[in-house]
This record gives sequence, C-alpha cells and structure tokens, in this order.
Amino acid sequence: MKGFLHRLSRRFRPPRRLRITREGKAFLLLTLGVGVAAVNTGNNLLYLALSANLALVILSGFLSEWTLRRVSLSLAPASDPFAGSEALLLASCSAAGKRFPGLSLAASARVPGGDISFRLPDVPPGGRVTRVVRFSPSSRGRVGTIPASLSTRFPFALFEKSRDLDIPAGWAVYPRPALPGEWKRILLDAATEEDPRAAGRAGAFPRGAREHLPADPVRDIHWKATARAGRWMVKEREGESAPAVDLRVPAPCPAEDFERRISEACGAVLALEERGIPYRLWLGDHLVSGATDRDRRTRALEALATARADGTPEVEAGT
Amino acid sequence: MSVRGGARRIAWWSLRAQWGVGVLLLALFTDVSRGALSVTVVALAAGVAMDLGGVRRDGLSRLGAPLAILILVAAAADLLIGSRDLLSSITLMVLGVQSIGLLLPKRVRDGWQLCAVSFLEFLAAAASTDELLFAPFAFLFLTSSAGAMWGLHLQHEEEVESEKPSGGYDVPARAAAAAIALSGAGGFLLCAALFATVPRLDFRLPLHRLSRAHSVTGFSETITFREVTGVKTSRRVVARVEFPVPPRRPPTALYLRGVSYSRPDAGGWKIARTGTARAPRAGFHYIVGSAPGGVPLSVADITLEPADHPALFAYVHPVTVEGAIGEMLADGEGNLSLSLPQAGHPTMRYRVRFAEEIPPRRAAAPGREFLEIPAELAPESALGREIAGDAGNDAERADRLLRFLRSGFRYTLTDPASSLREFLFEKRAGYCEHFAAALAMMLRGAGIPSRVAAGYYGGEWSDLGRYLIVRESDAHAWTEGWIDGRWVTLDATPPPEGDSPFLVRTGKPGLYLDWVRQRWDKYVINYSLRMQAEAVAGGWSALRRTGRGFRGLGGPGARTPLRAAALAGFAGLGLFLLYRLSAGRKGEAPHGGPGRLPPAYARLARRLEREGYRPVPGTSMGGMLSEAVRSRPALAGNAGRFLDLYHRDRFGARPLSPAEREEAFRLAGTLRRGARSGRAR
Repeated sequence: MKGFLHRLSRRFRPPRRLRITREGKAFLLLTLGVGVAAVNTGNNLLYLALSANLALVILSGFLSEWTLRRVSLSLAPASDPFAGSEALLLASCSAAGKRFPGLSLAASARVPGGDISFRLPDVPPGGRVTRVVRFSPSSRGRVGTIPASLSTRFPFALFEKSRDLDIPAGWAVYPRPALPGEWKRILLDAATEEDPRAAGRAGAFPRGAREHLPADPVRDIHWKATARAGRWMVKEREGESAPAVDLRVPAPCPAEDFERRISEACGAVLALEERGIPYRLWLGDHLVSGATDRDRRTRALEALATARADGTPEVEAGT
Repeated sequence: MSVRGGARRIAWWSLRAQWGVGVLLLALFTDVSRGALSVTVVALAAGVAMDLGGVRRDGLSRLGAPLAILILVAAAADLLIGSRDLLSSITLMVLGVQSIGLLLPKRVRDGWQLCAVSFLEFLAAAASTDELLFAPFAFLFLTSSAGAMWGLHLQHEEEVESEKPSGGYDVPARAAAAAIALSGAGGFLLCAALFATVPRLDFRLPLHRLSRAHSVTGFSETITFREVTGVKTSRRVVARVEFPVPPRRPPTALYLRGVSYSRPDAGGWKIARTGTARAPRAGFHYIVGSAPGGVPLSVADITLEPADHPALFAYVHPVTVEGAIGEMLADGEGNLSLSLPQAGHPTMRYRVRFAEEIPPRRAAAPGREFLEIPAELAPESALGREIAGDAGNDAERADRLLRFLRSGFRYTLTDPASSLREFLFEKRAGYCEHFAAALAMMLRGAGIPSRVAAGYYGGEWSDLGRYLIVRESDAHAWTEGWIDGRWVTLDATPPPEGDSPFLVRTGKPGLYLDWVRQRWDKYVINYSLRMQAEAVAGGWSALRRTGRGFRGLGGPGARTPLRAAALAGFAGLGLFLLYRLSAGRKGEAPHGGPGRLPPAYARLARRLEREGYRPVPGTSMGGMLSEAVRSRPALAGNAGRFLDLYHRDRFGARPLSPAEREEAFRLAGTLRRGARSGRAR
C-alpha cells in the first residue's frame, strides 16, 4: 500500500518544484510594495516599474526552464560498490538536443547509503559533463531506479527550480566482503564435498567418446557415437587444468546466518579472483556461476548481491 | 566557481551599470540635492576603480557601521534643523548609505542591497517625472538589472565554489552579452505586455502622487497688455488634441478656451470668480453644459501637459468632460478648473464633447456685470456706441465693431500700445489682448454683454499621428458677446503677417519626435482603465465579426471564394504546423539514438524502395544500395563512401563532423538522383 501511494504521488507530482530564495522573497516583497504604490497613486510609471519586476520574474521562469529541460542525468558505478565501504559513482549529465546550455545546475540523488549532491555549472548544448562522486552503500542489493533532482537558480537567483527524475540504474551493490579469516570456513565446507574431478567423467571440456564401461552412468552415453559405432559409447570429458573450488551458500537459510554466509562467499570470490583460482558458486542447489564462465566474477557478485535467504533471487539495495 | 570566458566580466559591468543608472535617474528626474548626488557619483567611480584594481579594503569594512551611524545622525540633523523635509532627509540617508556601500568591498549580500537602493532610485524617478526621456533609461535599467542579478548569481556561485569546487562556467563574452541583451529585449516585451494588461486601478489611498508640475505660464488673473514676445516665441507644447469624432471646421480654426475675464478696470480685465461649484459628475463623466438640440457633437481627446495653474481647457460650448481628473470646478461663465491640492497639475488626458456652434435661442440675458463700464474707460465705450450707431440688432452692431477693428488696426508684438486708450486712439497697433479687450469694451458701450476669453487658437496639425499640436505660442485672447441668447465668439485680431518671425513651422524630425512624445503621453503616462476596457471591447467585437465571417462561409450566405480559400489556407497552415511540431518532437532524439531518419537519408531510402531495391521490408540501407549498385555499377564509388559515413553517423560512437555530415547528405542526394536515372534507362 505504501509503495502504491508512493508511486501514485510520484506519478501526479508537479513537473517542476519552485522554491523562493531569500533574495527572491525580498524581490517579491519590493514588487508588492511597488504594486501598492502604483494602485494608490495611479501613476503609470509605477505601473511600468511593477510590470518590469513581473517581467523579470517571468523571464526568470523562462530561462530556468530552458536551462532545465532536456537535461538528462545518469548514474553508474565507477568502481565496484560493496556494502559498507566507499565507492565511486560516475554522474553524467547530458544536454543532447538542446540549444541552450544547462547553467548553474545542481543535482542531488538518493543512492543506496544516503544522498549525494554535486554541481554542474555549465553543460554545453549537445554536450555531456561527468562528475565522479563518492558514496557509501550500506547494504547489498540491486538498485532499480534512483530518485534524483536537478535544480537551478539561473538566471537571477530569485527562485530555485527543480525537476524530479527517476534514473534507471540496473546495477547492484555487492555484499560486504568478509575478511580472510572469516571466509576460510566456506572453503573448508567446499573441501568436504565429493571430489568432482573424477577421471573422464567430470570437466568443462568435451574430449571425445570411448566405449561404455559398466560403471558409467546412463546420462553419459553418447547417442550419436553409439549409433555410428554400433556399440555403447560414452562421452569423455577433460577436467580443468586447475582445480575448481566450489563455493556453496546454503539456501534457504536463517536470515541472520544467511547474510554472514553471503559476506563470506563474497570475500572468497574476491580472493579467488585475485589469485586466479577457478571456482563455482552455488546458491543452495542452484549453480549461479560456473568455473569457466567468462563474466564469472560479475555473475557471482551480482548473484550474491541479490540473493535472498529463502532462495529467491532479487533483493533491492537499501537506501 | 571560476567564471571564465568573459561572462563574469559582462555580468560585473552590468552590475555596476545598474547602480550607475539608478544614480543617473535620480540626477535627471528629481530635485535631490546635487551635492549628495555628487558624493554618490564619486563613491561609485572610486568603488569601480578600486574593484577593478583589486584593492583590498578589509580595514575599511570595519568603518561601515560607524559611517552608517554618522549618516543616520546627519539625516536626522537635516530633518530637525536643516531642510525640515522628511523626504529630503530620507533621500540623503539613502544616498549616504549607498555611497558607503559603493566604497566598501562587496559580497553578494552587499550587491543585492545596492541593487535594491538603485531600484528605489528608479522608483523615485518614476514617481517624479513623466518625460519621454525616462523611457530609454527605463529600458536601460531593466536590461542592466537582468545582467546585474545574473552577476550576483555568478558571484554567489563563486562563493559556493570556494567551498565545493565543481568546474565552472565557460560562457564567452559575446554569448554573455547576447544573453543579457536578449534578456533585456524579452523583458521589455514582457513588460510592455504586462503594462498593457495589468488592470489600471487607482484607489488614491492616503499616499499621493509625487510628480513635479512643470510651469506653463500665460494665464494670470488679469489681462494687462504686458510683454508677450516670450510667450509668442515659446515652442513648448501645451496640449495635444486628437479628434475621434472630427469637427466640421478645421481643428486649427477652433478656440481652445481656458478662462474668461469679465471685470474691466483701468489696469485691464480681471477674472470674476463668481459662483464656482463642483461640476456634477457620474463616475468619470462631468456635465458642464447642455447639449443643444439638432447640433452634432464633436469629440476631442486633449492631453494637457503639466502646468502651474488649475485651468482646464475645453473647446467652446463643451457639454461633457470625461477622464480621471479628480474634482472639477465650473463657474457661471463657463470656466472649468481642477480642484488640486497643489498649484499645478501633471500631464492629464481627458475627452471633451462639444458643440461647435449653438443656434440662436431665447434665453435670459446674463447679469448686468457683463455691461459694467468703469468710469476710466468711458471714452472707449463711447466709441463703441458711436460706431454701432443705429444698427437694428445686436448681431449687426457687433459686426460693425468687428469691421472697425479689422480696418486700420495693425497686429504687432514688437511695438504694442501700453493701454486700451493708446491702442484705440493713438497707436492703433497691438496684439490679441488689445483687440479682444477693445472689442469687449466697445460691445458693452453698444449695449451688448461681453467678456474677454483666453486660451489657445491655431496650432500645428500633425499628419503623422493625426492630432493637433498646441504650443505656448498659440496662446490667444478673443471676445465673447451675448448675441441672440447665447455667447458668440468674436475675434477681432487680424492674422499676423506672413513674414512674422513668430510664425515658425516644425520640421519633419520635430514632428516625428513629437509623435513619439504624443504616443508616450497617450499610451504610457495616461493609459487608463477606460482605454483597457475599450481595447477589450474592440478585441471582442473583432472576434465576433471574424466568427460571423467564418460562420457565413459554409452556409448559403457564402459570398466569396476568397474567404473559403482563406479558411482552407488557415486549416492547411494549422495542419502543417501540427506536422512540423510532431516532426520536431520525433527528431529530438540525440545522435546515435533510435531517432527519426534525417530527411536526406529518408528521401534516399524512399527512392530506393520505389525503384524496387527493397525486396523485403527489413532490407537495410546497405542492402538496398548493394542491389542498386548491381544494376547500376557507376554508383559503386559514391555508395561505398556514403555507406561508410551513414553507418558512422547512425551507429557510430561519435557524431560526424559538420563537413562529413554535409558530405553524407550530398552523397545521399547524388545517389537518389542516380537511382532514378538508372531506372529510367
């Protein structure tokens, strides 16, 4: 219900928000005074002064609108964001298709772990300006959309006009990696498992076919070769050159224990990647990252970022 | 924030210009103490020089508060023992504070305060003047205000930047200047639109108008045959008159009447000042006379320049006066005047409906005071009685007296008679006041009630704005006689000779300048709620006329194919604009995005498709061109180059340079033509 109301309020929010600055308040007060004097005296030149002030207010609205419109903002991690540690965010502001530069822009965004803000004094028409800002996400999870706002005081600093944006992110905050002493246990757990490197039966790379032996399981039968040879043939595989480590995160699992396990798995993934040791990551019974996957690290970290204690995959990063 | 590229310089100068224009406005349009103004100007110049030179004045900042207290004390002293004028003291205080602010180092807040002071100076000037010269300064002030506020905003960002670096502006000086100029122009247009549409309310609460009245002389309590060459050579404009309902006579042949003098004595003619009462009014309509039956009324819109007397001018036989002119007084002699708290009045505009002539009627003769003859003027009245002789009626007697004065008497400004007797019996030369006074006295001698009237006669007709320019030199005096039951205008003054040095016409530039002034008076100074209402009513009736015209197009009353064509044209234009708008929106996608195909590419694709080079709908540009090249090998070179550019343009990481894009479009055109000729063969 709360989420629905939030979505509803965002859907029907005004396209721009306006805040009157201190100077703007003084200006409006002065304008009001001129209006009273004009009505009181009937002096048309005071009406002219009143009109000039109102014209400046309207002009300010036009110019700030020209500055704000068609400016887009994107936020992407410039470094791997891990929960509980500082990361870098690449904020990119572009004014594609604009004829008027974006001037005196200030951007703020609610990213996981808190709010960030930065200033973009001059975004040239058709150009792009990037800033690298620091942020410290507090918890792991996928970042869906980032509520942000672009505001400007251009041109006269009488008003601060803001535009709300929902920036699609799609990236994930990885779990807080456990320290080496903490994640050793997950490797020990892996060592107790059955050795997956049995000769000729396990391995990532198909090597060929050989004759069937009584111990061979039915699933290894090479049906095409059998048909060609006229006798039972089985597939033969070649094992990895380096031994792969299996990292298993139990799921479902009690929540308090699950976060610790995730953290340990994350620490192990980073350490194994650093040392070049292949690994497989299992979430419960589900293999989420194979030892020979090309984007093994990213897949593993994203899976750990979004894993849930009940075994379902997605988790939103807390803000 | 570092503001590079000249924007800061332009904004900096705009800020100083705004402060300077404020002081200049005060100097030009108000009576503020010149000494105080001089101090402010010196402070402004010194502040600018020190700001430019980067002189550090941190020590001076500490003096700000004591100096402000000193200024306050000085202003209080001026109020108590000096000028004893509150407005003057406040002005001195504001100028003093401004001078201090201009000298000291300025942070953003100080800049805003100085801008506010400058705006107050602008207001003071606006409240004190209605001169046309104010208009360009108002525009300058508006433009410099836009630049000044931008400058303060930049300065604010610089101060924020020192705490939080983030790059900076890089706006070139030319772009910044153009932005400020455009802001000024846009602001001016918006200002004009707002000025025209803001309802012109006028409640007249306890505060009153501060404007100065400029002296226009020429109307005193007595006609005394004084030296009038100064008045007759003055080119100063007294009034401008438009005629929404034109009179039958030329406007220059109408008498613009101000006051009448009905009490003669040895020294001259005096105003009677009897029976003065408020003219009955309904809203802004004042009833000052009765409309004669069967006589059409003419209408004159009179814009009266500021004057130091309360007389309200109207053409003879006024019936109503309309305008926001406050209380109006009328006496028994047809004299109209304003009820003013001060001696003079500012520029004012009002409408007079008047009858050029009143037909003879039976009405009671005016009182005997209009036949009174002082003993000292007995010879003059006797001359009138003698000349009128035994004529049958008043009109004939008046005509004889007129003919007498028009024969043998000479108009002169350089050597006039000093008294009525000298004029009638010795010199026989004088100007309008001599002729008018002599005729009035002779009429009384002949038994006809009479008085002397003064106002303006003649003027210069401007074809440019179709209005009459009445100048101080058009001041005139004439006689009014009670003939056949109404006051009749009798003018015995002969026209001045053609080579008179007092007859000066305005050149073309002068007329153009006066036209601008007239528009300023009409549409700015005297713009009123009535004019707004008339504009709305006019616009509404124009809309209704247009609506009726369009409704008549489709029905049996459709008269002209031209209207139908106009309707179709408007509809077509609307559809075209709609199309352009939607096309523009589709074309907004940035480079490399899934945007609409540029027109040159789209035309080539359509041509290739029409020529049958697109066998299936999904065929790409490259596929179509390959097909085309197979049937037309000569296209191969251009097609290869074009495809390279096309792919980079549509799908490349970086946009094409303008030259490359131009080449791509050119090649697309060439290929389009080549594909057509290939099919033709």
